[in-house]
Amino acid sequence: MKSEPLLLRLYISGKAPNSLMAVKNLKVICEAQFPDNYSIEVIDLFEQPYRAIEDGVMITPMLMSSSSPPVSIIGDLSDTEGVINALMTTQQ
Amino acid sequence: MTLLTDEISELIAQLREIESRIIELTGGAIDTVIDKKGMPFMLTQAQNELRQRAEIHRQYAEQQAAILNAIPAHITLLDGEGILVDVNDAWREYAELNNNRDPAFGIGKNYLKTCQQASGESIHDASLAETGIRSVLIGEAPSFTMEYPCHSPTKQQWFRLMAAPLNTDGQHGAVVMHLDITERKLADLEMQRALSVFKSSSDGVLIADADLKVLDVNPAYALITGYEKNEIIAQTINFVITDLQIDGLETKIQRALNTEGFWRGEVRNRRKSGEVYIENLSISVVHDDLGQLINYILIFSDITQSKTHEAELDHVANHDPLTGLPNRRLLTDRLQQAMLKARRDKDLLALCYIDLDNFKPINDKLGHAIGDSVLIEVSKRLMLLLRDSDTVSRIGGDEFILLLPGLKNQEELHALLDRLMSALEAIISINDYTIKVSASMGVVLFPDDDVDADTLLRHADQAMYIAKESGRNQYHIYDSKLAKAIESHNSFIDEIKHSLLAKEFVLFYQPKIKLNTGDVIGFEALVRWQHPTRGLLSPAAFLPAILGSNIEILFGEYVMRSAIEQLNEWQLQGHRLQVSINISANELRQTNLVNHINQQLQRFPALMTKQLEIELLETAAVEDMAEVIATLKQCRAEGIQVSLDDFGTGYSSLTIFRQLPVDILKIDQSFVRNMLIDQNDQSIVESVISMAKAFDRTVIAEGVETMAHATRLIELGCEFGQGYGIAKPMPAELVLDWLAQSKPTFTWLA
Repeated sequence: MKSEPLLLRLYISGKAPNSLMAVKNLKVICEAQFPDNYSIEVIDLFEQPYRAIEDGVMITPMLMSSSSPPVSIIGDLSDTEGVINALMTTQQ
Repeated sequence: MTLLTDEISELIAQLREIESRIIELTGGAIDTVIDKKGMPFMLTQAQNELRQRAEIHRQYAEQQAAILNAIPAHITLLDGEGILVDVNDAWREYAELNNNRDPAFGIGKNYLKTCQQASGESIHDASLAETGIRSVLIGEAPSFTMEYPCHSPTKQQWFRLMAAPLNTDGQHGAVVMHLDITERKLADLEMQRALSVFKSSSDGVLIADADLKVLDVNPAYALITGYEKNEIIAQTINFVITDLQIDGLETKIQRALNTEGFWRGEVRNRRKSGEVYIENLSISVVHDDLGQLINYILIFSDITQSKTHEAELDHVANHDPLTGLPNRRLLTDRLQQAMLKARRDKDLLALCYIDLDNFKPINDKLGHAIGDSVLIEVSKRLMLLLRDSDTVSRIGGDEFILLLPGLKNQEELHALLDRLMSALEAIISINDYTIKVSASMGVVLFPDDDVDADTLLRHADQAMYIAKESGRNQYHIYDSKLAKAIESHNSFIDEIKHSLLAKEFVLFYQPKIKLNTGDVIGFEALVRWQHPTRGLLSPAAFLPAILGSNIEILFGEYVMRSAIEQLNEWQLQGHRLQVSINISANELRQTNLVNHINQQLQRFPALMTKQLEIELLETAAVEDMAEVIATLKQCRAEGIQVSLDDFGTGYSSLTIFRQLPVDILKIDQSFVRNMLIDQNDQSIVESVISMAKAFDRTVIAEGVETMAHATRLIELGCEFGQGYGIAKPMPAELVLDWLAQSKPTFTWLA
């Protein structure tokens, strides 16, 4: 049985180095762990500043899950294992 | 100042420290920190990224503007309300070109309101535009397009309006473009017109490529030829259908197309059904910009009907409706051709003019219907007897003309005429009526009678009248030689008549003198013709024609009148002269000759009758002697002298001479001229002189040509003389001068 799809939002600051890294890392993690069962919405602070404020984002890059309670991870998501663990928790 | 800068430097240092601390806390893995009010605090590397991004945006915006400005369309951006936010260069240029003084080029104005304010012819289009743009602005329509005219008094213009939604940051707006489509529109209109001409033309139109492969045909093409469009497209055509081609026509067409690019003419062509028709065809060639032939355009109309109609009209114009025979017009035409042929073939052409005898009573008594039937029967009988090369024509009423070419001789003609006569004489039966007709025919033969066609017809007509007058039911053949002689005589007489009126006849005067003294006793008036083209003519050239003609009397009167007027002229100049005039036999027989002379003389009271003398020929006096004698007696009684001219050439009968009441004898010049060399002639002269003396008549010798003649005549006892040795006949205006200085020239007097 397939679990609920994982809905993720990644807040970034354009092509700033950590933001680029975060996008890249997240895609690799999701492809490996939740193939065909995830959706990433990338929200650029430069393009959509209002979205970040509305969502109470204080730092970029920041990954946020739509689960309840939401899980948020700050940084370039290079701690792959930490990210996976956090996300797995939400999955359950 | 220093304090402030120092403090600021301190604060920036703290900021750097804070940033370093944040980086330390987050392991350098974040880019931006945002405070609770939403203010981002970007770490240095994120700021760099933002600056790069701004630069890219600026470049992008510039590129977009360049693209926008490079577009010839007039473009504006509208906000959600319809207010102009921005315009491109083309919009600005157009506004300037149209003297729009608004320095903002409409920016800030409401486009939709401007549309509402439109007036005049554009009101409808403006309203359409307003509705369309509004529907785009409110998201009802994904786009809007319309075309509209925008003519100025000097220029026709069309535009296409295109509106597309423009949504930025959740704000509605629209891009509105106006594109000048005048060129395309004009081309469209021209194409439409060309197409409607092509489609609706009643002329067939065919367009072919350079290899004469058909590209297109119009509906009229199918109507005329019977070939549908799909049957002919891509087929290769010929200008002219091969089996109907007139020699060299195709070559002629090609040559015209090569040199002039155009050819027009009538050609025969064949419909799909095989029926031949006549078309009025024009062919033009079309070249491309490089001068390469790309198309042939054939335009043609079917003129078969008008041709047929023309032929019908032609038949009506050339034929008699009752009998169907050629009429005078066609006959004349054929006659001219037949005349040429007869001349070429050196054979005879007969023209036979037929008039039915007693036809009118048939019409009157039996009615026109029967009359017409008779005419038809006559025409049938004529046709039956004649050859194919002959022409029977009816030229009106009961008159027919036959044209009979190629005759070998007169005998052949007579045989044919006899057959015709008997055929016409045969009884005609119509509706129980038995009708008998006959014909009078006048025939003329060409080129025996070598005249033009009209004259030939007239001669045939004249011959027919002779046949009629000679008792009908017969033919008469025109005698061209006799007629020609009569005609030329008549025309000469006509000319003389005309010359009399024009006073072309003048009198010359030859003096008569007393030989031994040189005294002038009078002049003989001799007529000359001052012919306008032939020069001065002596009486021998015209008198023979006049004598015996109907103008003889007229001519005599002219001479007499002229002589008397001249006498009076001299009289007015102080010279009482004497003139003799020649009177012909016919003039002499005029019952009132004397009265006539008197009347003329009485016009000039100063003249005396003895100033006029009449000379008559011995031969003229012999006929009707008694009458002549009576007239001469009257003359003498009036004091008019009478002389007998050319004496010795006629009977010279003593008896006659004795009876004639004449005053003077004139010895004929032939005897005088030769008397010096011919003894016989001198004897005659001598005897005439002695005879004159015996009867107490004055004698004048004519033909005094030399001094020797004068001297001999004096010796012979002849008192008076006349001749070249004395003076030649001279014009009246020279007479007085001659009189003044004549005597010294008479050398024999010395």
